[in-house]
Amino acid sequence: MIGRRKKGTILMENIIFIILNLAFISILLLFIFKQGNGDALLEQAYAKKIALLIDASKPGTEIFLEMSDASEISPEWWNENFENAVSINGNLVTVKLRENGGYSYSFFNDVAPIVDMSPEGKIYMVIRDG
Amino acid sequence: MDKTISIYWFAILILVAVAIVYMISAFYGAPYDVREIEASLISNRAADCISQKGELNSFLFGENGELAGFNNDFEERCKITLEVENIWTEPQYYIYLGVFRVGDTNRPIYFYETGNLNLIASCEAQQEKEFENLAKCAEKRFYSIHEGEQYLIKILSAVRKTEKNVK
Repeated sequence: MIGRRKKGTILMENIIFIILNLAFISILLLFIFKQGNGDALLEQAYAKKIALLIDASKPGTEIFLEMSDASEISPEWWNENFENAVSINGNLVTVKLRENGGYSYSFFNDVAPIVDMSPEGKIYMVIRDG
Repeated sequence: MDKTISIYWFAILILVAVAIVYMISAFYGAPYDVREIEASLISNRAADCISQKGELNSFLFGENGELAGFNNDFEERCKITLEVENIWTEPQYYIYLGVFRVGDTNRPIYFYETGNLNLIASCEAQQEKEFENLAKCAEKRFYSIHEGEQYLIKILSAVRKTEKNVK
């Protein structure tokens, strides 16, 4: 009788142990995944990408850029503010994909780009003479 | 015994977790370094500005055909702005343009430089070993002609912007 109860305890301990291990691994994987798709990282990547595209362009160039993953970071914020997600002020590109975010990077090309963002996260840019 | 193993097991798990979190944070926390591409783009822009279709641009020459160069209007002529974010007070770019006769590639017959002259030292240091915290440089050399005479053009550009490209 006593032996049976002990086996039951061991099984329970093992189950708890396995669950805790699984929880630990899940949290770790979630952290890695969140870091990899980090909001700040995406803002920085797009700001630098757009700045380099502008630097490499001549007046009259039209640029299409797919940034649909940007709309998934904060969908509510995106729906209300997608038009201002990418802004250009002087020679500074700013990408803002969430409430308290935003990353700016400067470009050296003395041009005046016009930016148009669609709700789906497709960006259309025309490079005009500065 | 089992409990002891569990405690040690979780201690190991926590150690592993801390190590992974540290590595992931270090990897994803580091900004993208785009300075090399940027330096290369500036060099290309300067090259396109002074030479088109293999011929030196006419604005570099005076009325008598002598090589007059830029009249402090390089940025305007080449459509380049050296202004950067407010976090920096000093220029973050350096551009050097040298025009040489083909027979004498050591002494330029004309050169122009603008931006932060302190970045030249970074370019010299980077030739031997790569230093992340120093400015990144790009060098370009090509030949161009003007009225039948051949010239060698050397362009060196450097981009610092360390705070935005290196952790």
